[in-house]
Amino acid sequence: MATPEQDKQTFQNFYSERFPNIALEDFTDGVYALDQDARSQWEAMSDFPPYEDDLELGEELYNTAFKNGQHYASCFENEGDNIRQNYPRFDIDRGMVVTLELAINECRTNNGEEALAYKQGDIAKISAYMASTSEGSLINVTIPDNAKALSAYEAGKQYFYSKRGQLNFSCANCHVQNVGRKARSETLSPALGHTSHFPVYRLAWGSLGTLHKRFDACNKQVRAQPLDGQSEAYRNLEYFLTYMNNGLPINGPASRK
Amino acid sequence: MKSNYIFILVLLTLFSFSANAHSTSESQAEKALQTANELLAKTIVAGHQWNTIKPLIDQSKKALQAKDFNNAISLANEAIDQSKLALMQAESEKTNWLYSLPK
Repeated sequence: MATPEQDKQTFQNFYSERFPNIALEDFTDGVYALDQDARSQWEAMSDFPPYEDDLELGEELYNTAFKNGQHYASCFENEGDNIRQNYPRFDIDRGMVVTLELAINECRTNNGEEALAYKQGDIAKISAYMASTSEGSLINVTIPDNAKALSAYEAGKQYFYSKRGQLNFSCANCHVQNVGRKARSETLSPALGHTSHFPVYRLAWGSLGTLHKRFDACNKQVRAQPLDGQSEAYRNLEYFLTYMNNGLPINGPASRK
Repeated sequence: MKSNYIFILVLLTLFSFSANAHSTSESQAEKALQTANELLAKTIVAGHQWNTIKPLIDQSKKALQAKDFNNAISLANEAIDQSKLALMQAESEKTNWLYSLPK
């Protein structure tokens, strides 16, 4: 069985060989690294990013004190500044993957606040603000020498490559084997870079959404039942996928069609 | 007079058959729905639930409530078939996913 590091090398080499003219870090632009027409439209849209207001709100929310006087900053290393690249991380004590959104909500509940709804809304805004403080930092997800951590990574890997839904498609069928090809009018984006820019403002959503919301959209497209936000399967999938993106720069939040 | 008795007897017999068929259809629909629900639960446990199955079960329940038993059975059977396929998918993907790894 390949180690996570060997998996990552194979994964990244696959895209480098498939698209030899695209630099590794440019895969963080997703489909806009492959499709010049789409890129031109995206760049024009990026002059006035549609997530700008939400990003400001996210900063405001992040800096607003809880009822007990504490702040989000009290829950995170480096007061939450420039840490996005280290998430998701594996919590050995609890034997589970902790995503940034889960950590945000745990920060709230530990300080007597109600948890926010996952996938969109305030949690996406706060997460977007935190991601913005990591712009340019290289993704550095670690898998500790721990059986449960490796098991979570492997579960995420199996989810990514397993066919599901009535249409019998896996994540990899679109974003690895058919990357760059068209599904109807849309170019299929590379999985390499997928996790670098979330939360994302999708025009289709009209708002910021988290990576798990995007997982939902893919599941619906293949007629699989979407899972709950922060479900174990989604967290493990995020863990695997982000590990595959290690070494790429954070460039979120971002906008997509 | 005798022919009237025979006519009433025939009517009562037909009514009895009809009522019996009605209750049979209803119990068949309930049984099909129960099976559909059980198989759906298995797809969830297997982590391969399709989003097309629950709506079929919901529609089947509505048809049952409306006493449209044939439709209820048909919808439940479709849900059963889809769940069986989802379970086959779950089983085959236990090993087949490895063939999708990039080389």
